[in-house]
Amino acid sequence: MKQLLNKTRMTSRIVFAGGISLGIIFIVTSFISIYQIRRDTEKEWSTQLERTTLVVSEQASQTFFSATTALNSISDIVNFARLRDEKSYRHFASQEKQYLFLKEKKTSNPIIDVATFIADNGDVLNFTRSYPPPKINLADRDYFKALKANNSDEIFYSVPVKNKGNSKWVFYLAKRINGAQGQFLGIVLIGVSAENFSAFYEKSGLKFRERGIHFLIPK
Amino acid sequence: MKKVGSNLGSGASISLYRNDYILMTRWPFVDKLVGIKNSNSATQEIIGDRTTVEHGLLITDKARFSTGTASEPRMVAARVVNEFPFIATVVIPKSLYAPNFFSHVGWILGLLTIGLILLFTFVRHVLFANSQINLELLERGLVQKALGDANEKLETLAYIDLLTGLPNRQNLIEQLNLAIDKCKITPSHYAILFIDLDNFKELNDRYGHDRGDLLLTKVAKQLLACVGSDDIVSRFGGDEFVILLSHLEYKEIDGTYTAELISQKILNTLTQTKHLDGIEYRCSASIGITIFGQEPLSEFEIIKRADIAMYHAKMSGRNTFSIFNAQLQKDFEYKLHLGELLKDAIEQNHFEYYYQPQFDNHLNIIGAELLLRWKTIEGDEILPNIFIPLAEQNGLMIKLGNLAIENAATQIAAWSTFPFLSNLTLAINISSQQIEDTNFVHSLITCLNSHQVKASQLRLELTESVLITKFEDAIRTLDLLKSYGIKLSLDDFGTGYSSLSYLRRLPIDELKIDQSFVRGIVEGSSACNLIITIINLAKILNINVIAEGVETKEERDFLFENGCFLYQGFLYSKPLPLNEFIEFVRSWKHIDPE
Repeated sequence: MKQLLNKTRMTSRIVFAGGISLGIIFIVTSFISIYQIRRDTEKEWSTQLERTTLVVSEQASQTFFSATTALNSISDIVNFARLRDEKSYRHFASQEKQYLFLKEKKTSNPIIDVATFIADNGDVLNFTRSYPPPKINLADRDYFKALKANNSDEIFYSVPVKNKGNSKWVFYLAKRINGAQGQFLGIVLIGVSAENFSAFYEKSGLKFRERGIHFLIPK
Repeated sequence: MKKVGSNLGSGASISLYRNDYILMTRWPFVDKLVGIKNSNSATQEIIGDRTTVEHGLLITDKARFSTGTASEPRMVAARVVNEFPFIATVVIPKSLYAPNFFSHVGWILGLLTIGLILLFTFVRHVLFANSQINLELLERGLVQKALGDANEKLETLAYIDLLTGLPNRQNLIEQLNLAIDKCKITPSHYAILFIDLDNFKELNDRYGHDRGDLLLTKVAKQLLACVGSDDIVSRFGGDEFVILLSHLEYKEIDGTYTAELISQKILNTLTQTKHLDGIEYRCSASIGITIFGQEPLSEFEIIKRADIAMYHAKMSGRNTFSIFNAQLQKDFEYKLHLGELLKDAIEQNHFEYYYQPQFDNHLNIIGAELLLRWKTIEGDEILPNIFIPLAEQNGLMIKLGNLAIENAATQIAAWSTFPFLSNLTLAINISSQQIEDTNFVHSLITCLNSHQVKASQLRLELTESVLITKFEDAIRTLDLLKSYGIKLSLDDFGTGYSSLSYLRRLPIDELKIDQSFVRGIVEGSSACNLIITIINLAKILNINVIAEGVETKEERDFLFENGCFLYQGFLYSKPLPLNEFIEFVRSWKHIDPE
């Protein structure tokens, strides 16, 4: 009788201890799982984000490369003309032939919103929107100020601004034009529509969201 | 600009910054943010942390959580645009990346909860089942223990007397059997002392059973103190104790010497005064002794012999011991036989009725006492002092008394037709057993009524022993008899132990002076003073006094001179059979000088 009592008591203790142990294992396993899932989530999302930023940055790089190429080709046209002074530059840039040249650049490159020749006082000499151009002065723009003040061969990337022609957000890639003596003659300008980027981002974002959702579903 | 992708959730965005953190464009597009430097952006933090530079790329430090302008946590990744001074960033809010995570956490916690509940239920069920088993086992253990205790108690009850703590009858019988077996192997001698307390019933009746029990416990201790450690003192039942004496020396013939000494010691011890809860009591006992070991006897035979010896001691006046012998056996068997004969005699009314006249001082016959004579069918004449106690011992007294009452009523009724007999009072003796019988008064009155006899013509003579037990009950019965007009006489007055206070409460009409005192008159002993005292006592109580056993003229004169005017005895007439009595009364009338 006593042995039987001891046996049942021992069984109770074992079951109790086993139950507690199993409960602890359940809890610990659950929290480890939660932690693991969190880590995996972070990792997978970070991978996803890395990929997305890569796509986005590549797209930007390609866009800017294309815009820069167009800007450089326009700048090369001016440089090949070997203009000596501001007068000859104005004359060169205001010709209808240049309007057609700019127009061709814009047509061949859809990212270009506008291409412009600017005089040393900020007046628009020629641009892709119309010929002859209306009287527009861009002396207040950051790129004009920056390039007039600094004799640099580098391209200046402006802050986005609302285009005075169509009120759309555009940012510009600008390059300084120098005379024979290195004096400031004006600026050549390529405007890129911000909408180009946001439209692409929207497509990427939607895809990203879809992928992200799929990604989170355990395989 | 139109906002796009707003359905992605608040806080989600893909942006392009200039390397001085001026926002060039973003999706979804927000006018007020474009062209503005994002000085608090998490991007600055990411890009500024150059430790994450990898292959010319600036990327997130593994896309960590951060907080932005919105209160909601967001995840931000940033990357420098290759060869251009721009930074591309992607931001997603918690609402995008967290739901599935929290959904999984919810699932896990849910499963955990269910698992814990199931586990808890299982463990609880097992523990509960185990506890039930434990309880059952414990209960079983307790029951077994209780059964063990009960068995032990039963065993104790079976062998021990609870009141005194002495071995009981069963125990003694077993010990006796052991002794008998030992005698078969080795010649030895044992003695059985059968002890019966004298008048124990009276103690119980008078002072209550509590005091009776107290006496038994005290007696038990005293008995234990009187015997050796190898002797066994047992309570045999009621007020009977039996002692088994061992190791009686063989040279003492049959061991009686030792047994006698111990018996005497017991008698001396028991007579010591005992304090019984407020009263002082001195008891005595009658002891029967039997020795065994020499002849093969059963345990019952041994006990029976001791009982016979005890009975003899009781009959010998109590407070003494008696040793069993063959004569006692014979006497005992004769009494048994006589008891059987008496029973038959009562059933068949084989008694002879004698009438002894009673006289007043003018020699008028005032009545008679009815006396029973018994001659057995074997022709032996048995005296009343033999068969009356025998009837009491055999529980035949009430039947015998009823015979006497029936005879008396019949005679009184018959005498009513004779003028010289019609005024006589007939006295009969009644015993204490009759008085104690609750049906006595009813049957007596019924008998008188059935014979149309006046109750005043019947006189009941009772002895003082009637008053010893249940005094109050006896008084009530006597009062009831008195209320019917029956006369009461106290027989053998002076031989017992009536106290004056009791006498005063008795509703008696007459005191009867015992013949032993009357016989003492001629010897000039102290009996004379006793008689004078009794007579004066009767005067004080204003009741009659009658003397029995008057055999000489001197006795009669002494009684007359001292105020006793009623007589019964051989001086006038011996007890007479009915016909002779009637003739005597008729003749007496005839020779009456007055």
